Parts: sequence; structure tokens; C-alpha cells
Amino acid sequence: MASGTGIRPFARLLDKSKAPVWAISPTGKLIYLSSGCSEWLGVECELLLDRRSVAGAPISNDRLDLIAAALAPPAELSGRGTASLRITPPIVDQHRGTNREVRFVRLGDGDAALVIAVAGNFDDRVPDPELKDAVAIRQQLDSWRRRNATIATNITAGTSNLARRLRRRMLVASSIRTDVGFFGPPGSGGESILARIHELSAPGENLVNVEGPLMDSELLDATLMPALHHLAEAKEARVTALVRGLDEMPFEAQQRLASLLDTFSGRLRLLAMCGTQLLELNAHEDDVISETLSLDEERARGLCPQLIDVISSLTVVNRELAARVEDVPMMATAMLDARHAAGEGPAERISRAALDALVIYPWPGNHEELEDAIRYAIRTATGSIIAVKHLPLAIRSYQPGAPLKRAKHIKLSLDDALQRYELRLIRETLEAADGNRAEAARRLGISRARLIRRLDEHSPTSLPRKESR
Amino acid sequence: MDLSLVDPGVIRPWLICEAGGRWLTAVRRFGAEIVPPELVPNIESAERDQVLAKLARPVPSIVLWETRRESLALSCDSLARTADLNPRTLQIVACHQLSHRERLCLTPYPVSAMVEHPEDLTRLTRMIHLHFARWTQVID
Repeated sequence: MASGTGIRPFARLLDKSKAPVWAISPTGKLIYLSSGCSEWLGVECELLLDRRSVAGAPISNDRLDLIAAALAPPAELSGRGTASLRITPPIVDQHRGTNREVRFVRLGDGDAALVIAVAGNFDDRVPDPELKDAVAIRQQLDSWRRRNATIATNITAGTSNLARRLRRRMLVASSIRTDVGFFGPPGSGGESILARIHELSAPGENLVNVEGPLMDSELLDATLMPALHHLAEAKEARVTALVRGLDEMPFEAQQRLASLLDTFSGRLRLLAMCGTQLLELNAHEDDVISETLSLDEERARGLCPQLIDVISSLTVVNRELAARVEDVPMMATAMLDARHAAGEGPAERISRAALDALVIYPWPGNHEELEDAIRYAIRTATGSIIAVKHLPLAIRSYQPGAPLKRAKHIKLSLDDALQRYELRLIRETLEAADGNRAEAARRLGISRARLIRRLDEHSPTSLPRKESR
Repeated sequence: MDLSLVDPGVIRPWLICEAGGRWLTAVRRFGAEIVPPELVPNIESAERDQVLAKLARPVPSIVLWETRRESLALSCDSLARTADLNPRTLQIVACHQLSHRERLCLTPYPVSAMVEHPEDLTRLTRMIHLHFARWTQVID
């Protein structure tokens, strides 16, 4: 028969550690208590041996029985195998034992099961803060998926106002078959948004892709030829034209497109990516098309009036990703989820440090760049977590510059700036010359009198103190 | 171009007291966007003791305190002392893995906002604009 090694060295170490450890026999009686228990409970351990320690069992009024009962494991231990409990020992002769976390482990099964308990200050029930953060993002994501099951694309994920507006617009565009104009910077996911709108608003309808900037009116006719034939042949036929870069399409081609849309009155539908002009021209009105545009402005916008009329029926606007910073963690997680579900890699979540790097990066390539970054990270990551080192070099090495470099609108007076520069130079040179004015003047190549005059001019008493902006 | 060439009247100190560089990077990224366009934030990292010295001048400013569980009491003290020394300071607490109960300890002190992650900073734009507008009116 196999046997274990000697228990005495182990028992000695347990006693030495001062940790309260006890064991409960299969019959529910205390069979071992370490010396730490005496200190914690305020009674000699020997007095507790062979006393019943079973949750819910009837006990006498003997204070030792009460203490033994307080050490009992919770009832769920028999089913689960482990259990946690916070135990406050009963007060014995003015001794008040501290409240401690206890972990119980069941050894063996059935009638031979032995219980070992350890009391201490454990914090394993407090979730890892990093994990807690990841869970919070995932809960937000799940909530977004539940609420927006029909239009859920990664680009619409987020809690910002811009994300909410985008979702509302998409919801309307998806519920009705109408012409739609999409406005957004390059890489803002216009194509996937329009494709989703088409899929939802006109499932099964033929779609023709048109590269706007490459078209002239003849080429447009040639591209749309099969669709036009289809429309001419059957009166109930419907076709959607998805035009990329409508604002860069030559005006004659735009006018031809408008004429075709008019000819087939509603049966030929336009889904168009119209560039970012709307945002620039109507920044204050957001995505409301101004009704007072002059012809020159229309040309500046890049859209002919007839097509403006067409896309006025519904416009969808997606701003640059840098304007949706608070949505970046959720969007990145949504992208990761989609790729993980498709079996692209083992990564299941993004570490907080990596999310910070994604938030800090300015995203000149907008949503598509984020999608590319997540794709790259999934391929690079070998474990279940995407860390900073798995992100593309441009993102993980990005360091934001001083705000002044970006604050180009700050007005600078050249004279003031030169004065300040001169003063700084004089002060630095004076410091280097240990306050010797003659030496400083010599180093600067000016006379001592001029140096003193400059210092006097710039001294705080001679300068008006500027506090207001 | 450096800050010494800019009109000192438009410079506003933004001090960051933290362990590491997470918030300094974040404020460098978003600071210029969330302060009014006519002002320039002078973003600096500072030790807890240095912050009070740097706020001695009564200029409207911002301090971001990164607060951890182990430095909660110190942070409360710093918040109170900073408000006493320079009431024109907007104090932001960056909570580093603080529980709700620990955050509640901070609320009696003059904390204008609590943030948890860098992306939360962009939500403070309106508050920061109003803060500087209020103190500019007083100065004018």
C-alpha cells in the first residue's frame, strides 16, 4: 500500500508560520489546529480538538463548541470542493479575534472527504483591475450589440455623441430604400457603411460599383449598361449604384448620373461616398445641407445641384477617428472580437497599455488604419492578450509633441518674441559668466552699456504685467 | 519654437503628478485640444511637493493627480492644500484602480473631475473652457 512522507516537518512549519490552519475530519470534527489558531481565537488549540465543526449542526452553549462551530466550512463546500468565508471568531474572555478571510478545500470524495482551512488576508476574490476593465468594455460592447443588432458594424461601436448620431442615421437609412450620401474623411469606413445599408434596406437587390473619379459620361453608361438593361427590361426591377468619390467625379458624368436617376425615378438608387466637403462647408450645421449655396460653392463642393438634391434625402456623416477618441477602446475590441470569432488568432483581449497607445495615436488613416492595426496585432500576438509590443511600430512608438507645435492659431508678436528671446539669451550668458556683466557682454559681442540697458528695459518693474489673455 | 517666445499672458500651467508617464503622454496628446484655442497649456510633470511651489502664482491652472490606493491620504491632503494655496486651480484626479468606496473618500475635497483612462480627458473640454473663462473674467 502506498503511503505519504512524514507529516511532522510539515506540521512544524505550519506552527512556525503563525498562520491559522485547521483540518476537519470526514465526520465533521476538528482534528488539527495550528498554533496560529490559538493566537487568533484566544483559546488553546487542544481544547478544540474533537469538537464538531459542521455548518448548521446543533451545538451546546459551551463557548468552545461555539468557537468550533464558527470554524465550520459553508454547506456548499461538499458540492464545489472549495469555498471562501469571512470568519469572525466568538469573543472569548475579552479576546476579540480579527475578522479574516478563510479558504476551505475538500480533500477526497464521499465519506472519506477531509477539509483543510486556511485563514489569512487574501485578495483573490477582488478581480484583477486590468481584467475588470476588459470586462467593463466587453459589457458595453455586448449592450451595444443587443441594442443595435441590425446595424452593428464595428465603426458604429461607441458611446460618444458622434457614434450615437451615426447609429441613428444608419438605422433610418437601413429601414427605407432611399438615396444616401455618405460624408467622411478617407478611411472612415464609408464603403462598409453603405454596403451594410444596402444589405439591410434592399436585400438581394443588384449592386453596381462605380469608381467616381475615373468616370466620364460614356464610361458611366458603359459601367451601368447591364443595370440599365435590367431596369429597361422589367418594370419591377431595381438596382443600386454605389459610387465611390462622387465629389471627384467629373461634372458631366455627375449630370449624366443625375439624369439616369431621374429617368428610372427611384428604381435606380444612389449610394454615394461624397468626400468630406460637407463637414468643411457646413461645420456649424453639421450634416444639414445648406439651401443657400451659390453655383460657385456647388462647384467648390464638387457636387452638381441635381445630385445634391438626390443625396439630400438622407445623409450619413462619420467624423474622423481622432474626434471619437472615447470610442477607440470599444471599436478596437469589437474589431478584435470579429476577427477572433473568424479564427484569425488566439488574442481575446487588448491590454490596457495597448488600449492607451491606441487612444493616444492620432489616427490619420482613420477607421481603416485602426482595422489594419488590429489585424496586424492579432497576427503578431501569440497569447490571449494583445500588448503594446504587438501593435504596429507607428502606433507603439508614437509620442505626442508639445501642444504648442499643434497650436498654430496662437498669435505671436514678432517683436515680443524677439525681446523675450534676447532677454533669455542675455540671462543664460550672464549665468554662464557667473554674473559678470562685462564678460557676458563680451561673449554676446555687445557693449556692457547695451547689455545693462537691455536688462533694465526687460526688468519686471519696467514691463507691464500681463495676466489676462 | 518654445514657450519662452509666447506671450506669458496666454500660458496656463498644467501640472501632472503621477508615477510613470501615462498621464503626461495623454495630456500632451489631448491638452491642446481641450483648453481654449487662445491659450497655451504649459504641460509639466511634477513631484507632489513641487506642485504647490509651482502654483504659488495665482494663475488659472490645472493639476492632474494620479491617485492610487496607497497614496489616497496623501492625495486628499494635496487636494486640500492646493485649493487653499491657489483657488484658481482646477484639480483632476486620475484614479488608478480605485474602488467606488475609495473614490468616495476623495469627493469631500475640491476635486473637479475624476478620470480613469486617457480617453476620458476629452470629456472635460467644456469644464476646462468654463474654468478658464471664469477666471479670465475675474482677471479682466
